[in-house]
Amino acid sequence: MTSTTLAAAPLAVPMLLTATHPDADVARRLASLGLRRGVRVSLVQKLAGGGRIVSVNGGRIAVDAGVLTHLVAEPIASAPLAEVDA
Amino acid sequence: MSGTQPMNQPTRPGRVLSITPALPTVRAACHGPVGEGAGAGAPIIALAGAPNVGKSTLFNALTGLRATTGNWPGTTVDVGRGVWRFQPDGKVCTCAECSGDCAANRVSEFTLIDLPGAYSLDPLSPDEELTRTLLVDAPVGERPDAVVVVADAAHLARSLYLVAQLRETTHRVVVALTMNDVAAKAGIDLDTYALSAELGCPVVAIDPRRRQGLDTLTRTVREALPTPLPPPRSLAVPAGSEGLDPLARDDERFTWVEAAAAAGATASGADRVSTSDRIDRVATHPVAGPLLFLAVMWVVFQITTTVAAPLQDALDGFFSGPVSDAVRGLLGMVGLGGGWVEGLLVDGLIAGVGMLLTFVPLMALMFVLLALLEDSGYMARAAVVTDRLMRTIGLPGKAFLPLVVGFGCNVPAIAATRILGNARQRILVALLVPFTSCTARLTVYVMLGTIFFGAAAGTAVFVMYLASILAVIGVGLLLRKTLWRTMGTEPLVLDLPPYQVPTARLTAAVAWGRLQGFLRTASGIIVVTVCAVWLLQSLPARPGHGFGEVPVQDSAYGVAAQTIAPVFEPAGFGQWQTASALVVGFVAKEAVISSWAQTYAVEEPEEGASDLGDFGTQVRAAFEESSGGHPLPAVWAFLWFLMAYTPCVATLAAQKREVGWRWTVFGVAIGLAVAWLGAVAIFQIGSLIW
Repeated sequence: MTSTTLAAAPLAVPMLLTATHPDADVARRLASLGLRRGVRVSLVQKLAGGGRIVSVNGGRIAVDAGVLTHLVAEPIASAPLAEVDA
Repeated sequence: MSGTQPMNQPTRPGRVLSITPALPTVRAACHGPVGEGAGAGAPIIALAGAPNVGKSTLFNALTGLRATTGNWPGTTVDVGRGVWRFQPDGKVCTCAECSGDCAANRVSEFTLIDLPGAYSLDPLSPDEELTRTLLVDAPVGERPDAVVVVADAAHLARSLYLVAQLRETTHRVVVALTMNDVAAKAGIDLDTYALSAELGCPVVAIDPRRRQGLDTLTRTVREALPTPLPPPRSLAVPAGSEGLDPLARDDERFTWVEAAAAAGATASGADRVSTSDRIDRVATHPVAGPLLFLAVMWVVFQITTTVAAPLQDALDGFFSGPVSDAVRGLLGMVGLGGGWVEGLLVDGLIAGVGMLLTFVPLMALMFVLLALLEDSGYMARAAVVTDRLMRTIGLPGKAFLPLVVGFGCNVPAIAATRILGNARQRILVALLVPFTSCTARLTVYVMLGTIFFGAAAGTAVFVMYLASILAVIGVGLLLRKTLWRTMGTEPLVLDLPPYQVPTARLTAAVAWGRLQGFLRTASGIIVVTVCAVWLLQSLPARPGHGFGEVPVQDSAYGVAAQTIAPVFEPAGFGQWQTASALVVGFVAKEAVISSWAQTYAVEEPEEGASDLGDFGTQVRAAFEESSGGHPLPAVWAFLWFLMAYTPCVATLAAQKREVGWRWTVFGVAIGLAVAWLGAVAIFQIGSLIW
């Protein structure tokens, strides 16, 4: 299983977050929004400047490229994302 | 607490929370007071929750007041307070021998406190710190009697982290689940009973936007109040033992939260491409997103100006015609016609405030459109789209939120800077907010746009808003490269709420609340200003005239304006009437048009002039004369000056509260310098072309 930062990860691929931000305040903010070690995430949209919209626990978090380079994840085998009306 | 002593804590008399929340006078000046609490003996209930979960909407629904609400983070930065009234519907006390007439059952109102939005009790910003202070750091006897945690049912695990922390204290907690419709669409099936059992506190599903479930919530809170304070939740990682891994305690809480969420929800709703995602493919696209943002803003201002114009004309005719004529007739009947009383009433109050009121349709439309954008969830995307732009001046994307609020009114925008965790960022944004063009300035843009650009007035207004954005970036860059050059940057981590169809009730409530704020300003500061202007115009500053019989140019007002006017000659608008409007605009931009019109209304007609009753004609002639035949560059220079200098005294008061006098004075100096230099540059360069 190859680990990668979320900055380099492809869109729409389910991944397991294995490392979070080294800065404690940033890590706490990410965790309060659900982005913490051990959660399943996927990237749903590219943003200007290298940021991404991250899907976690059904929520959507906009994260910039600087933070994404510290978030390490590894792909997990899963079906592609389903389309729903919500 | 024993069953024979019901409501011991909630009904203790004369107790208030040891805070001075919420109701600073500058806020009252702009949007009116949020409200006072119930009687001294009424239980105090705190509303807590993350930003963007419907907390302020619930507060409004329960209290009938109008706090600022919106479907994007950071809206609530002050502590709101109101009265939550209800009909007591039966016995809720736990006394065995009580027949139902004890104090717990007679309570018919609570004091409801709307705490600032907080994801957790570990503060990363001043508003989160305030929430922690009120809920955790305060002595037990000074805490609220119960805390209603508003939680997003569609993102349950994330919303319950605050519950986990509150359950580690002795607060009575009631969880109010919002966004149940969004959760249902995402395939999440909630079991409030199971969730309640796991969390160890009552859970109620509500819809504050449609006012559903509020009776159940009221009943649940009433039932919770007589119960003893709950023991704190036992922790697997006790305090002080997480030294090896600073996030160990957080992990323990999340584990607890996820176990509760798993028991209370049958599906996570995770990893699905939603309609919101499909919209975001365009709305947050690196190229299409900014274009869409500009298009949305352009449509807002275009609709505002074109739809409101005929209504404004009709109201203008009403006040300057029948209303003024009726008052003149009445004064003539009682023998007061033609004197200073008629001057004060007709040329002062009616001409000034009446013209101001003609802008009510304009304001109402603008507020409705902004409320629609907020309630729909688009505003959070606007913050994402503008993140890169904000980073050019070293600010995070969420700094855009107070700046967007500034386009409505600068006063709450200054307060909204508290969502920024870094003190230096807050000062910088507080200095930039006055360059965002508030709706009060819009009235002048529209008027001058209509006079000088006719059908293209909407585009002229749009240009002024672009100029406002440019001023924010330009001044921001200047400060960033100088006084703020050592400031670090904060990363973008922003929650994006799902898009939703705005509700008519919420949109109308938000728009009406803001319109009321505007009208309060009109009837407070503006009336005082208009009367002060009339008084100064009636006071002779040169010999040979009596009170109320002096030509404006010889009055105290005229002489003062004539002293200042030469400063504006290099900018092409050195006429004293124009300068006087800018002086009044320092107090409140809403007063610019009224005082300007007042100036012309009471001025003696000049020989050979025609149609002097037409304000537009006079303004056009004034710019023509003062600019030496280059009225258009002079108008653009004037508009720039109006946009860039001090918005109003209420904004100064808000700045003083947030960043202190030193930075407030610095902000005034920066504003005047940018305004004057820019206006001179525009006129000098423009007059070479036009």
